[in-house]
Amino acid sequence: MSLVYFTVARKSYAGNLQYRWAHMANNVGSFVFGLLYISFWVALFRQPSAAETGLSELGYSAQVMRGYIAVAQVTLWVTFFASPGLLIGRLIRTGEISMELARPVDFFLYTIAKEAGRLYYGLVHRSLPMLLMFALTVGFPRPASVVCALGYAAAVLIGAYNTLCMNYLVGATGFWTKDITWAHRLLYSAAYSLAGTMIPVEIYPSALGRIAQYLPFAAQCYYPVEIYLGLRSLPYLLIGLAWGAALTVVCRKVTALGRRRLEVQGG
Amino acid sequence: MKEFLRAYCLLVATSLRSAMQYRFSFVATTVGSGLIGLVDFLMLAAVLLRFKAIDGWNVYEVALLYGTSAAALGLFRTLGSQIYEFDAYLVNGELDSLLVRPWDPLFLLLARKFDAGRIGQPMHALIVTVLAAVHLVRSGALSPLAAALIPLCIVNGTLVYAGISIATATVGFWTTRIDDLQTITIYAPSTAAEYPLSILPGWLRGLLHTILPVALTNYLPLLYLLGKGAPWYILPVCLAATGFYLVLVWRFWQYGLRKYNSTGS
Amino acid sequence: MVEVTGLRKEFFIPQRRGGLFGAVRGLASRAGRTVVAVDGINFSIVAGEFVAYLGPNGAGKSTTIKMLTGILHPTQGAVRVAGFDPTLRRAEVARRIGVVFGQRTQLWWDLPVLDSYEILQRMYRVPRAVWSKRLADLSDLLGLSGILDAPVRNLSLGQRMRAELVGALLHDPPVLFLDEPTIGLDIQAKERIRSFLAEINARGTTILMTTHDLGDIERLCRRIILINHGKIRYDGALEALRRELGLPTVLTVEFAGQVPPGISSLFAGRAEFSATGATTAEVRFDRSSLTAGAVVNALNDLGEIRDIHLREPAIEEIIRRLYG
Repeated sequence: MSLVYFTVARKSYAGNLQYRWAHMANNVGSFVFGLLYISFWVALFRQPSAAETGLSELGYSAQVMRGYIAVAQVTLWVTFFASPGLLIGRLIRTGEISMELARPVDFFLYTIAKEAGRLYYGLVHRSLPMLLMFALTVGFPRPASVVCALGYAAAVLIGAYNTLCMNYLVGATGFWTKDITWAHRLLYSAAYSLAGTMIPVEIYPSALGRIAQYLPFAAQCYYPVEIYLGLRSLPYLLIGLAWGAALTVVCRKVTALGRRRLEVQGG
Repeated sequence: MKEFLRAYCLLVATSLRSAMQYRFSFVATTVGSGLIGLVDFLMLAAVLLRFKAIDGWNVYEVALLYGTSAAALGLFRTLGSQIYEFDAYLVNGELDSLLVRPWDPLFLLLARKFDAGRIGQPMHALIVTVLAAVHLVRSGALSPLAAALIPLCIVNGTLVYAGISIATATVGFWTTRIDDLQTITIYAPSTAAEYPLSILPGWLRGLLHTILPVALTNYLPLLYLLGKGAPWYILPVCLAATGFYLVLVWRFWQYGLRKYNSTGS
Repeated sequence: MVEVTGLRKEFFIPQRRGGLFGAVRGLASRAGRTVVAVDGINFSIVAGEFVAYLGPNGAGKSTTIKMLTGILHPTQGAVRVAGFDPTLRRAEVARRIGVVFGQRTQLWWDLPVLDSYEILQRMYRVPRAVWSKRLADLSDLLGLSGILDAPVRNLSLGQRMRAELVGALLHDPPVLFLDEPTIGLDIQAKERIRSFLAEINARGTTILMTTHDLGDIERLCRRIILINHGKIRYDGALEALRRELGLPTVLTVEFAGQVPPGISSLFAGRAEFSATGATTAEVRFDRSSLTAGAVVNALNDLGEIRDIHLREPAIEEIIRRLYG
């Protein structure tokens, strides 16, 4: 039975291949964003007031941030950029949702398997080229240790899974309201900042900085990067894992409710 | 030209009227998208405050950079949305429908849609700009006269983004799809313009002063207006440069259009 | 109104090669083949005519129309529409033509129909009073009063076509180009549009229409220009064409009992009979000399009819017949 999901993922990967040249152009754009963020941090640490910010005590410096941004930009393509609402909204609008729900597979697993294939495509055709671009120019850091590298791999899987669940929930709101672009844009913006894509979340002021470290968004980028660089130890993976488990439960419940709603309401 | 402006005003009025019919949704989207952008900026500002300044630009000055850049781009995406989405016209063959009308297709694209739904973005950016400007005027970093020139900068910025977008759309005559190219030509440069361009490596800075001249939208004018050392004539130079850029872009567009006339879709 | 001389259009199709190296080589070399879409055609349409422009897909039909409206520039030859060359004076030609593309809309999708018309009024510099009167007139002819306030995206296909037609005629162009105007519509809607077009043509608008619908042609056009493989195959009247080809209408009849033997002597010379089964037969006749009603009545006199079916030769058949 699990073979079905693997096949679905594989087909999704293959389907994305035809766009790889367009995506190359996009990669360059992303790379420029990375350069921008790196320039931002380098300039910040050049400030005379940099020493008083307390950031070096936390382990940050211009050099560290160079590495942080590079790893973050590479990681994002697997752990962050998923299809909006996993395209469930589109299925609902076109009415295909009834057909998809009627398939003899678990809708939740099926939907995330489709997206997983796309994320794998992102790994090969976006993350790896980006890694090369960074390595050949401003430099891409080595993992702090073998343990850190393995921890990173685990963190990436956990982060990707959380992203899939969160996008799934956004898409699932489409069972109840027609317009989900709202929900998606809100989540996307919040997530992008709270995931620590440009600013390590612990640096955010006061309460926000403290809370953000325990939100699921942190698992999308912040923890993978920090574990890779050796700034955080492996036990922090548990935060992402806990959220993954919780989100799974919510997703399954929402699917059941959504299914029932559709059966009552019609397409 | 006059008839175009009259037709365009009618389009704006009628689009707003249509959007207002779904009043709640319109207001919600506008406020919502505005808030999102605002919150993003606030988080960045918080970090900036910790460092006090970046490359000599304090938080309020960076807020001004951010506001003017986002407002210029936001205004363009509202007014010229169809240029931004030009590849749809190439993919569907809809460009042909434009070519049978008596105006240049570029003006038709402008007049095709006024994206009232996007107005939240420039609105929140303008709020940030005004708040930052007020604070800077009070603290003496910005003279009231200079502050009065900021709207002119934003208008100039909108024209620059229009130019970049038209140039990108023209490339579509050869590649058909341009949305991925736009990440490089519009999305990345406009984000870069939210920060002082001096933080960027030389080659990138040069690029953003020439081929994708977002430096004209806010950085260069503000170097003078905020008293950071640029001479007064940098302002007319920026305006002239925008005009020159638009002329070049217009020529490029005509060249692309001729290519389309020759080879079709 | 429309003059086409020696019109030729070639397209260069570069050879596509896959892979990274293929793409790079594609930039350098210019290997590929030249396709001739329109191969030196000539025709002339005078004011007030209603011409059908026919041809199978890929025949060069849309390419010709695109050159007439200024969308494409010819490789060779001359075009004049309403006195101007669309390649050199596209805007002047645009002001003097109306264009309706069958499935695509030219109106503003999200706005009410009336708002689109107002924008067009400004675009084509139609004086307000003239515009109002014309709108009232056309709207009356096509029954638009109910839909003027509706956004275009909410209209049905039939309503949209009517709105498009009015939009194309608001500036009173001397020439109207139509691309499949009745496609996808039901009989009633088709008839409505056809009578509208007949009226407009009677008032002096020259119309060039591409269509696959024989009903359109029979009702509206006196002249057919047929294009295939880039060349004009026929330029003249429909009846003359049918007569020339001898393509009859086919009536299939199913009798309650056996096919009556006297059937073959009916309408001797003007109709052909062949039995296709024990109870069914086919009658081929020319509708211009013998009405379907007369045939059916005669058959009915011979024996009780259970079912009849009438078939007109399709455009494609005419075209196929036209050159083997």
